[in-house]
Amino acid sequence: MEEGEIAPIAGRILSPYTSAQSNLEAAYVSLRKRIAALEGTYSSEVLISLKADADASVNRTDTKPAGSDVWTIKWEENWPVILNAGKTVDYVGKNINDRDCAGNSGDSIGASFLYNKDLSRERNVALRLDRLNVTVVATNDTIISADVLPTRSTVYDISSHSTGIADLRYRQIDSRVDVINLGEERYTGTYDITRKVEMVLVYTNETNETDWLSCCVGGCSELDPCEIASWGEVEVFDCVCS
Amino acid sequence: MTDCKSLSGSGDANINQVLYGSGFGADYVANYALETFGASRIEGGGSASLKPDSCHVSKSVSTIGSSETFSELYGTLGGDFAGVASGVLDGDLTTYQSFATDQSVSAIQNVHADGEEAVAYSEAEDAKGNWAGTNAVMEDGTMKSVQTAMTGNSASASQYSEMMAEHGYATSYAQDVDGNTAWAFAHMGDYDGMGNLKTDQGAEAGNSASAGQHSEIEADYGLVESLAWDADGNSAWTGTYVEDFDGEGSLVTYQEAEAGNSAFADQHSEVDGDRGGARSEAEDADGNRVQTDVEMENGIFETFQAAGTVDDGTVAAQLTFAEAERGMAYSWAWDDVGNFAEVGAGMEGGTLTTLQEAVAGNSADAFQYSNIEGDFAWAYCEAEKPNDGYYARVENLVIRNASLSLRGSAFANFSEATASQRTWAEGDFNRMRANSSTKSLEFVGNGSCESDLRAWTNVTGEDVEAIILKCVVG
Repeated sequence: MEEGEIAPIAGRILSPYTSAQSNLEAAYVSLRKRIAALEGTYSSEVLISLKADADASVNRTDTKPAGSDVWTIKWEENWPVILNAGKTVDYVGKNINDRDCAGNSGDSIGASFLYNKDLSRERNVALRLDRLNVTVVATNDTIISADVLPTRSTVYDISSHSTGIADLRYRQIDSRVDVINLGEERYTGTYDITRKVEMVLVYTNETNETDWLSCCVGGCSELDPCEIASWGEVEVFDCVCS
Repeated sequence: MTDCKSLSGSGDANINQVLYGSGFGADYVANYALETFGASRIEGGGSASLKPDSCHVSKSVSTIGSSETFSELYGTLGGDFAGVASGVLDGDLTTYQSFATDQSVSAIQNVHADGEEAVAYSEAEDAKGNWAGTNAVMEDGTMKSVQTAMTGNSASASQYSEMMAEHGYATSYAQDVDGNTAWAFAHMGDYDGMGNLKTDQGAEAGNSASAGQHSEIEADYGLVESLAWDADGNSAWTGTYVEDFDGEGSLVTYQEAEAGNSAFADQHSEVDGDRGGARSEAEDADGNRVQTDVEMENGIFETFQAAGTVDDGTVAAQLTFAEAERGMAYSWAWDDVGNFAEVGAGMEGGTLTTLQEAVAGNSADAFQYSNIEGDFAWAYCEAEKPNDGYYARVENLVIRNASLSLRGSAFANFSEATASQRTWAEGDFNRMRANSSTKSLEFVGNGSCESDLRAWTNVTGEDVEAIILKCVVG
């Protein structure tokens, strides 16, 4: 807990200010903050709970069908991380910039309060990473595909009163590291904002039993199996729907 | 992913959100944007629930005293698009918007705006290219609109709107993948800024386009229109206007427009004002044209009108009742080789009831049944075959204490032009005329007269015939 006055020192001509930064990282989970404030009254309280376990070994399995040059390599990592963090800030003064960001294996969410003369905010974040599965399909020469499949959840809960700029951002990515959800918001003025964002990605190792015949079975999926005249070699190997 | 938010405050706001779903065979994208400047008060909220194959997004915002606020929410799924947007300049805006994907996309908005200018619109387009939209625009006043846009296998848009403003517009449009197009439009203007406009609208596309409208206008000036044209080149239009410089002008209309294998436009109007009129017209792909009109000054009229194309030609019709200082109704047909037929009826200081129809195909044909009472009554039927110089016209004119009932027709085709009118007329002054290409007959008198007037010209050399059945003079 931090509480006090940011005030000039007698006999010094520099404007009084305070700044602080912190980074917290565990596995693929991170929490960052930056604060810079000019003269004023400032109080902040931070409570962080972190539990990370990286003892388990990473399992790797390689498979290559006979006669094929395509490898499927899978990594399974069970290094769970649970990070819960609460933070409050109260400031009245000339100006404060207060930024924070939470990251969880590619997903990120944060808020920036800039040039605020009067700021009060409460933020709670819960980051959970259960496991990480990575699947790479490749030949000896090239990588055909790579899927990063973490099982994770990110909950970000904020309540604020701001008098300057309030920026809220979030980003969620998929297994190919492509952005699937993006939010950018800016509020300039006096605002009371409450917001809760929850991003969840659950990887389940399900095998589609028809995948190996996806060409034929997929293409004939709308047909009644009873009406399919035959499943001879032409239908199977030439992908023809009878 | 879920996202819940509420906010309140003042100042500027700029929000951009892009929401995706992919990988489960139903990839979608949803976009939300809000921009506001200088609002003295903002309140808002919203939620989004996203799954890989579906999403539900809803946003609401209320701004007071902003110099500009604009909010839009739209998205796509499998090539289908739906979106809503609304904005205001120098005023207040309250809007609720939502977007959802299931089998397809849909978007809804509920808007209330008060300001210098405001707009609200909704659009939907499916993957095949069927397209529909609806919008409402207002200047200097207040507006509320509830709008929907959606696509399934076809696009669709609807709207309910109310306005009180200096100017207001409400439009719906639909176009299917074949190019069949329908359009409905309502416009109101009022110099005192107290004009009212109320519409229900609709638009569809699909295998054929369609547009609808129920409108009520009370303003200095009002205009409603419906238009349809099909991919084959057939087109139809119907419209009604009113002017009243006391700001008490009124206009009530139901309108429809279709397209498809043929275009068609309908309307029902009730007009009360200093001046008003209604017209329906149609033209087929061969160039056959028809039109029916009613005009009125200082009074009221009620009319049912229709215009469209049929299998081998085009047709326009009206059933009108007018009570006014002046009233006029006429219909004409013009076929693709230039044959022309027209019927008309007019009055001053009384009432006019008329049923008229004009048809153009391989010939031009028009007829009317009319009853007129007033200071002045006038009716005519005219046919012309200009390529061969054939012409025929019959006419009745009654002045003062006039009463005129008639059944008349005009017809022109490849071999003749004929005009006929069977009338009963009574008044202080009666004049009946029958004219052909080379001859003319005229009867003048007073009192009452029952007459059968005919005029024609044809290839046999027959020309004009006028038959006066019975007249009582004095």
